[in-house]
Amino acid sequence: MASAILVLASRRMGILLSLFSVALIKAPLTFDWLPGITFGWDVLANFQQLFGVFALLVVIAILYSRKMEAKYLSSMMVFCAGLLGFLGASHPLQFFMFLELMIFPAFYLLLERDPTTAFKYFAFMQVSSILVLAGMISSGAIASLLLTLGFSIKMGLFPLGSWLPDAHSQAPHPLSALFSGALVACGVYGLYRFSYNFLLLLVLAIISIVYGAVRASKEEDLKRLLAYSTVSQMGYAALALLFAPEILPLFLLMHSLAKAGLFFAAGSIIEQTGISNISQLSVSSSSLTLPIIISALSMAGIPPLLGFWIELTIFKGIAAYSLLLLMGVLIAAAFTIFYVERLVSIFMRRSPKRVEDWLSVIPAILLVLGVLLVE
Amino acid sequence: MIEVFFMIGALISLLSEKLSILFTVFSSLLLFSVWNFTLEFVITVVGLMSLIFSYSYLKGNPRRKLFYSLMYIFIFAMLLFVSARDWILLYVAWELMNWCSYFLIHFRESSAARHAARNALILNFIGSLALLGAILVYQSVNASLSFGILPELSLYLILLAALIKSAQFPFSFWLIDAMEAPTPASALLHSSTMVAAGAILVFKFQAQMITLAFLIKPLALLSFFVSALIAIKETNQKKIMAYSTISSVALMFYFFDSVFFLPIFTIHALVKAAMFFLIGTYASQQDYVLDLGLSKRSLTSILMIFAIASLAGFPPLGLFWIKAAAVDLILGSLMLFVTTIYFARFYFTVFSGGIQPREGVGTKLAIVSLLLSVLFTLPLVNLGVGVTAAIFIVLIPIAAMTYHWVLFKVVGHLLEKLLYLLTAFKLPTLLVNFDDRIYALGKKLLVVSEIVRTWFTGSFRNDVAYIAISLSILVLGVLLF
Repeated sequence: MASAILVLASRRMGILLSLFSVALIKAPLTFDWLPGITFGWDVLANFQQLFGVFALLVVIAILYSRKMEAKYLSSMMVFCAGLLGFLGASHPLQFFMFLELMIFPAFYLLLERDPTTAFKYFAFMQVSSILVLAGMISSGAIASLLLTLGFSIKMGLFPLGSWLPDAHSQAPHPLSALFSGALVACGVYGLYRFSYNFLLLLVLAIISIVYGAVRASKEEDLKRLLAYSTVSQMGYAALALLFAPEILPLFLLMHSLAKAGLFFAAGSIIEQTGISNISQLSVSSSSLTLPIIISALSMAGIPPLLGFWIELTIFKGIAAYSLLLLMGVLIAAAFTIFYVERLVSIFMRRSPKRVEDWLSVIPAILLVLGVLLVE
Repeated sequence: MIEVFFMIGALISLLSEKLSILFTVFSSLLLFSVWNFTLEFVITVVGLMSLIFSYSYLKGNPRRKLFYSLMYIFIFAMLLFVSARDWILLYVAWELMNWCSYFLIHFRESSAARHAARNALILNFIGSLALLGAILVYQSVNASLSFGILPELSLYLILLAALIKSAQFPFSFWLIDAMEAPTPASALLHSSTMVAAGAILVFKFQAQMITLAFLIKPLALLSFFVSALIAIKETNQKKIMAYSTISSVALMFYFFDSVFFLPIFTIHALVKAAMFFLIGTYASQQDYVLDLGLSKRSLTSILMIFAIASLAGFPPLGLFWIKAAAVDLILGSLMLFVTTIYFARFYFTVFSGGIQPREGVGTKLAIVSLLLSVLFTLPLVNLGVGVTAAIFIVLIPIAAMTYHWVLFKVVGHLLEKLLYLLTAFKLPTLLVNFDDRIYALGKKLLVVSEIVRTWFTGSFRNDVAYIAISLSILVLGVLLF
């Protein structure tokens, strides 16, 4: 936060301070605010690695946006502070506070690019926050229903999250990477920490898997394609939450690394070639080819990558619950390959343009190493 | 052990071409370690021969290192597949083969190659998901991932996966399009080994798959005859080979529960690889069109006759023993008949002039491969046809010559004349354009396949389609409660 203000004064100092504060963020921090309410720093034990990944993505995103104007860079940092704060929050009010903290800076960043999208994003997020707040202060079935609705908007599950494709495609590249890699994961994390309505979430999840994948397979714009794939992947995240909660942190870790990596890479491709239409893209690159292929295949659950082991665990959970549902989910999963193939094929066309970007290799390396986390 | 060796080969071939040639030669010495297991032996032999062929085929191509590397990875995956002892390893190998095939079909980067690769990948991914579903159903019943008694649902899903992988009847289009791949890749992946993987999977679990025999056998016969009938009209040499592959693999499906499976697999793999080596040598410059006007009096022509006779099942070569021993007379003669028609047309159209065909490494490899297939044919004599047939074994070289001069000239021309006559009679209702009619019949039978194809390649512009899909799955979800 402090660095966000500082960056207005001095760009270089601000960046340094923000990176420094990310490094310090694991330091314990607790303070009593009102009698009975303790705000503290509490990352769940099994989410530690995810938190580490978020911190890393924040660092990469800030490095990517270092050439932005100071006011935008500052907004970016506030957004990052909200993101990291949300995962570390320990009190419901703290959660709400950080959720709200994420809304305005992203709105400000979007407003510059496309006001319509910005207001859409703003409206959806406010409704989501209000639903979440209402869910937090009520109790019982109503609470879980409200929370499911609220966080589903945040996750971008199909009928509720129509802000997602627009906002992802219009945002500056580092921000859309954080949107897709981290913000939507916050929605799942919220559901994990609080409560959810089983039936509603299941139905939303399956619709999202199919809808996201089908739209992504017909989408021409590279970033919109990635955004729709996020919709589809969040359906899997919801299934993981419902049927195999022990794998959820790993799923979010995989999705954050893969999707943020893809968005960083897509940002570089669009900036360096000036083409955002995926049918016309033809890229040759020594730094980006393997990261994009690995990330895309990991999303599709191709063995022996991390995504496969996670998908296997989720499917095992579903198989233990109902075989009929398993068949439905497998049919839905078949749509994934349509867009994954399109992503991979941009490297295999004639007369390619050269694109290099070594920064986005880092998430892919971690993604490959992530297989070690599977027990 | 030998699988890991091929993985190392993949890495080496990325580094240097010369080293990888050395490595191929060296690893062929390792063949003796797999001498006792037919499947692994055949895969290794055909794999190494395709690698050697690709060194000459891709000379000067700037991306050839990637190609060699993919070929090595594929051989690795295929060996892993046949030697896997638990489901996860089997699935990993299965999926790895898909992606190798995808990148190899894509290798030329033309738009036809792109579409072919995309179709193949998508269809095979669906097959993989069916296999994954089978594994999960099995796991939910048995709580274990090593091989065991499969539940019935798993059997059906495995059959679906196998049919897709082997390009059997409604799913055969991906293999025909996949002929866009460079010929060494077609020789290895899309004819002899990967396409047979589906049949191998069914063969692996034959003890339980026997309950689905009522489904597998008719489907196999259907695939056999449909593909053979369509091959009669095809004008691309590699595509004719693809149709012939489909019908041979259908034969493997037909014999999945008998001792004849391994001989068919072996002979088909070796002979088909040899045919691809020949075609890749003499026709790669002419884009694999049929009318090449090559000379019949050439080594290539004799080898091709030999290969065709092996596959079609003329005594005393290759598949004859199996057909004679296992299929009943009428079915066997029908099979022989349709196979001969398209192969005769293929041969007499290609070798119809006086031009000497190009010869090279591929021709030599074809000789080796065909000799090996003869080696594998010898034990088949025991299969039950008896002493009279054994006499033919002595006459193999003479028989090859005989086919060249007598059998194909006489029988082949007779068959052609027969078709011609049937056309010439111009019977108003039934027999007009007999061969056209056969073709049309085959096309009609392929309507299902065409529907599946348009479903993949056609556009889903209408939002109604999305909503319908979402709703149907929603209904499925709701039904559960």
